[in-house]
Amino acid sequence: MDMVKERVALISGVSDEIGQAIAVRFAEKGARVVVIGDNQKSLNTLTSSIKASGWDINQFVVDAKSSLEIHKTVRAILDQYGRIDILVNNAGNSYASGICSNLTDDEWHHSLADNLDPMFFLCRAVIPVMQEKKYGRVINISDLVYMGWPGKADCSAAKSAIFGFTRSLALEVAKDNITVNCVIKGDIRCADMTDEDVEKAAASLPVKKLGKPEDVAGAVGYFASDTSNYTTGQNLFVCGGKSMYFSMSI
Amino acid sequence: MGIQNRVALITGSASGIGKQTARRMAETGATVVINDIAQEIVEKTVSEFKADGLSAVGKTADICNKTAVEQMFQEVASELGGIDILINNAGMERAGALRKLTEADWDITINVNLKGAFLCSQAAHNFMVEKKHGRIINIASRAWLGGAGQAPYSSAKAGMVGLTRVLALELGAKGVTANCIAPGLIETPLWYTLPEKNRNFLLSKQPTGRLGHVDDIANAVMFLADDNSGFITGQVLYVCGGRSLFSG
Repeated sequence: MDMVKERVALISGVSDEIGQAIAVRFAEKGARVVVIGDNQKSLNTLTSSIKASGWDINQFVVDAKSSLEIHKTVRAILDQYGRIDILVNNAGNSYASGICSNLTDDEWHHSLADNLDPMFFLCRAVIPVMQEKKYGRVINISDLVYMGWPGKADCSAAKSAIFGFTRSLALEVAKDNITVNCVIKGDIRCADMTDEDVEKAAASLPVKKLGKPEDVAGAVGYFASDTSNYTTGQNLFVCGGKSMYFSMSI
Repeated sequence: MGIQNRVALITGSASGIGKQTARRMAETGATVVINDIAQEIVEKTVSEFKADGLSAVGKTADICNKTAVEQMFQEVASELGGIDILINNAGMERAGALRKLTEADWDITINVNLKGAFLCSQAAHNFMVEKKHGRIINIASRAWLGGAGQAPYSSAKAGMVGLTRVLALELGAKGVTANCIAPGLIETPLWYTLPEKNRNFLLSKQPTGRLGHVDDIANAVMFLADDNSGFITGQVLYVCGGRSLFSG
């Protein structure tokens, strides 16, 4: 269903299980995967594992919050592959610094920079390449925290900005056969969660279970597919129905 | 995995989006139930599918009739062992300015688009709950965001969104997801009945500059119907070439 065979797929933010699941999914579907990040050890582990399965993957160590490093890395990828067909912006975090009154300037700026700069720098560098080739799939990963929560104004603001950015960019490039969409993840079970965390979170969801990183990867796969060229500027919530509790979810 | 070996009933599937969706699902290994209101076209569609080696059965029923709907689902469950996927696709439109619309225009549009989806979902859901697995996909429309001259249709499609969310909330804990697809402009024979001036105007509003294809909807249905899409529920997936980003 997600047809990505032979497509060059650049994925940021693969230190977390979701980024890793996306990389694995694309690789097993036959894409030529390139992962970037600043954690060499984590990159090595992922690429070794994917290569051991006989799939195509490469890595670049880069600080995704550096405009210059992103520019150089994209150039290096193009030298090697000639094109970038799919861009998945997963770099970022859901760390929240506390209530608004206590937020420092640095905490505010870091939250926005961590979540938005990599996406912006990568899109700015990659979109012209996609326009030249008249093909592209950009998928930005956001988080349900964008709906708003006490103590998370910085993170919510950053994750909301991804939504506006997605829609604006989608309109800019719609006629170039480039789609830009957003996958918004909800409560996804990750290795560092305790059974108690899981049970408590699951109880609050309509589906009464947490999601898996593969659930997010599946949604990314749908948007990334050769065949998904009529869906752009959209949000898809992978959240077990939790988004329905919030009034902004449509 | 995917939708292989699942039983999928698609209302209004003797033509257009429903037919192509049914075809793609059958090609992927599902057994499809072709439903429409006229027996002749149901039988013709089933014959076509079978001639292509696809697994299909036909059920003629008016989805606005509760008795007929219940009987249809009972038969499907009895003959095919249950129902895994329900696509509420049957729909129609009576367009017109508010002052010109009749009560009959309103009633038929609400009945076919919304009441039909409610009756089918009500009839199907117990079979899904019994198996602890189900996918209900409602084909709404980008028009639910509102469009001049579309009071009954926009209202019915908006109702589908509300119905979808209720189904998702009620059935979520039972392994059943419910989602909406909101198609935009899709190339069908109906598109070509519009005057050229109107078609050009509508196309000029498309960010992608082109129409969608019935396969775009079929792909979205197959994604949401997939066994692996169980964490996506209560959602509206617009397949509209970006038109939903602004309705101006």
